[in-house]
Amino acid sequence: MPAGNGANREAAGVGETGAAGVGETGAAGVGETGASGEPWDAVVVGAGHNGLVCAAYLARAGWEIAPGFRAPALAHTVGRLRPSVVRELRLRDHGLSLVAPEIRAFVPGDDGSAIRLWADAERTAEELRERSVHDAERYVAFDRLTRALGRFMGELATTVPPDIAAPSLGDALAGLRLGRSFRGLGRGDARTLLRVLPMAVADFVAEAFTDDGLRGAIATRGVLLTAMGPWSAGTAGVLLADGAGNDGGAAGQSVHVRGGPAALADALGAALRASGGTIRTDADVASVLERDGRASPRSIRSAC
Amino acid sequence: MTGRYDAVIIGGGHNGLVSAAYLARAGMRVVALERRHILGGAAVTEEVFPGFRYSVASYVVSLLRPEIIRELNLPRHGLEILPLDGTFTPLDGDYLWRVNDHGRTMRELRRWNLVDAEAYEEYGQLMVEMARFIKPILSVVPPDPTGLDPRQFLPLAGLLRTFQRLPEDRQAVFVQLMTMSAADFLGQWFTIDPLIATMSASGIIGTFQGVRSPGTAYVLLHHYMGEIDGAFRAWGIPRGGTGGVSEAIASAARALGAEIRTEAPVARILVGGGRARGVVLESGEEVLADAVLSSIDARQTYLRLLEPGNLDPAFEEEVGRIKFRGSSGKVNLAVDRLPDFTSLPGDGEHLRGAISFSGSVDDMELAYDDAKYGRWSRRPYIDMIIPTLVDPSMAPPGKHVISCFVQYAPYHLDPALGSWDDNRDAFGDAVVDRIAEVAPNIREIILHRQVLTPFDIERRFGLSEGNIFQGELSLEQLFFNRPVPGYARFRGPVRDLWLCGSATHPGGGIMGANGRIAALELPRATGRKVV
Repeated sequence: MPAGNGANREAAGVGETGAAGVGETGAAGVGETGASGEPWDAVVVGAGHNGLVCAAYLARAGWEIAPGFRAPALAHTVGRLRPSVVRELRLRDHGLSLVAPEIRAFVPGDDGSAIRLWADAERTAEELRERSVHDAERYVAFDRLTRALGRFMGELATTVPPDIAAPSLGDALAGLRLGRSFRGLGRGDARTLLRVLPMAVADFVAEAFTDDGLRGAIATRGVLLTAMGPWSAGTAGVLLADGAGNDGGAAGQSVHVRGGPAALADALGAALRASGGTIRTDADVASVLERDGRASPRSIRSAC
Repeated sequence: MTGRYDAVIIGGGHNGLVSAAYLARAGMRVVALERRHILGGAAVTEEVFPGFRYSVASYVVSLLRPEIIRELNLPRHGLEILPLDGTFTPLDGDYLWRVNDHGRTMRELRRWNLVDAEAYEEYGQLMVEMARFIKPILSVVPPDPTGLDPRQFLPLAGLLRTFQRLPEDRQAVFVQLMTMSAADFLGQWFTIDPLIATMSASGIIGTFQGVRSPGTAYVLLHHYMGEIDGAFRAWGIPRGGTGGVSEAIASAARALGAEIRTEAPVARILVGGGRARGVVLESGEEVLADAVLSSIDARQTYLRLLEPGNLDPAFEEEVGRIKFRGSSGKVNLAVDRLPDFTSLPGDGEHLRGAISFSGSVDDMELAYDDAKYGRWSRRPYIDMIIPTLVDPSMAPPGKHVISCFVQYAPYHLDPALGSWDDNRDAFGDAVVDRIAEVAPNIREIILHRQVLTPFDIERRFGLSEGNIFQGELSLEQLFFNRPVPGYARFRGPVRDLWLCGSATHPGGGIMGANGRIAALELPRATGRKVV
């Protein structure tokens, strides 16, 4: 949608001088206008990676964007970053450099032994022989299964959840697309997916492996960032979602950004600026103002 | 009667008997074979100690499908359900007591907390609505979501429409019920700890989960379904114990022309040309039939009774990974007089319902923690009933039987603890100790004690790993995944071999739905004319 689209403006409530906007309160706030001299088309609150990605896509579509920004510093790997985002926003041209180490996970055991999960499943399997021939023989098949199911989860991750009460045509089309990928899994994997999704990750890994250390090494990703333990139902789904879309598999995704996760934010910021977007940092949002039940793009007041 | 049958049924539990009755009703020549000397499977009444009769395993009913009661005319065959009134949760110095009388329950809840009392009404209505919505699913044949034939989804079309018509907040609640833990779900309404603990207990019955495990909220709903049919309203016990249900169904089946044999253990299923042809008894006798229905669990049907080589290895693997891991035990007591609870002394109405040892959510979760690491719960959750207070015929005059359902008793014990034979008595003691915390006289009044560990339940009732539902009721083992993905339509890859027990949709409990759907589906699928 091009900047200056009248309908969008009106819908956003700009020009209502009575609104408690920036000018009226005197508080430091988002600049009143974009580059075109007209008010912003959209303000993105929060410029973590999702805020930046959202802003960059809107800017790419011709919207004028003003995101706020507080530095993210928690993430340490970016394995789940969608390849389509990297491609479409041309993040590599904006300085993004991803490093995927050959070794995905190193798991030191209490007994002095250790497990190494390699990007190359065959290599992992070879190393596992020493611990358990049984597990080594099943590792490659398990890796294939988690990749296949993860690919479908990736499709799911790029779909806007449908409105169940009144599905739109778009919802129906997305449903058909998902249905096609579901069938694409083949009957065996499709059944396995429906069975595995609600499972506990401990049970899922135990179906393939007998070595407790290996079970633990893989199951970790089912509980990461959740308040659940490996015996909680649903954690197998977390493991599959963790490998969704990218180069997941049994070993998981340990992808680093050269220069740390902040470098991803920098690349996203560069992509946004290249599309004409603006970023403001140290601009905590205190409240979103609304008028007639709608958020006003000019109505973000700053706390600082 | 000899010669060829239209159908032979393996197992004379309630589901096997229901199947026998419905097949006979359809005009088929049918025989049901029970391994033991007594019918009923886990719905059985036995005189364990002289003069004391017990519902040895399953001990209450509420889920028995009303259409079965009606279609088989079970009351005429002796079925009588006596109501159990209320749930009493004894605590240290206090109690929480809910009864069927709504006004009394509200007064009791208000004594605890006004907000909870208000939420209680809202919650009850909501669950009835949810159960009413999901209930039709109990009587359909699950579709295969990977199958191409759209007709198999037809039975679900109505359900989808009903779902779409539900208000949005109700749709959200349904999703919560399918995914949340019982404790979290209930915690959205209530603050009274013993109330949440007691209500969440029905979410863990027969599962290897804790009240804080995701997925247990669904089991709450499963247990709610029995309460809305109007036939009984609430939990009850059959006159003469749960064996009374089985006997009534057996009587109806015989009246319809079915043959029922006891002490007829099946050694294997006969297969020829890729089809089931009948069974061979342990005595060597062959019973030939056009169809074989097995009401025992899927593991035993496919891995024990079929000779190797009849199954595709992938299917065998699926069956092998069905989760059983029984988690419950049963302690049956014979007592001289009634237990006396310190918080509400003496005989009274509070002893005539369920007595739930579920003081707090933490207590419930701690009991599960033991099980997670292969130990039986040192302070177990107990659901106790005293059947003799509603049916005095179960014990000599003045004496009582007490039935204690106990969790957790994991089938797979930590090897450091030894075997269940080594632990049976200590486990029984832990149960008595837990009761004595709130009813100290229990130690003096016990005349006899029967302790059934999951190991005993497996041996006695043939339930794999002592799982009372023939396979856990966890989300991945329900509906189109029950008993295994792709074979939820009551039959596996061997033609003419059917499953009709709790191992199939819609799962366990004295429900009978499994046996009924399988028996209705068989003539339909084989194109047989129903007489």
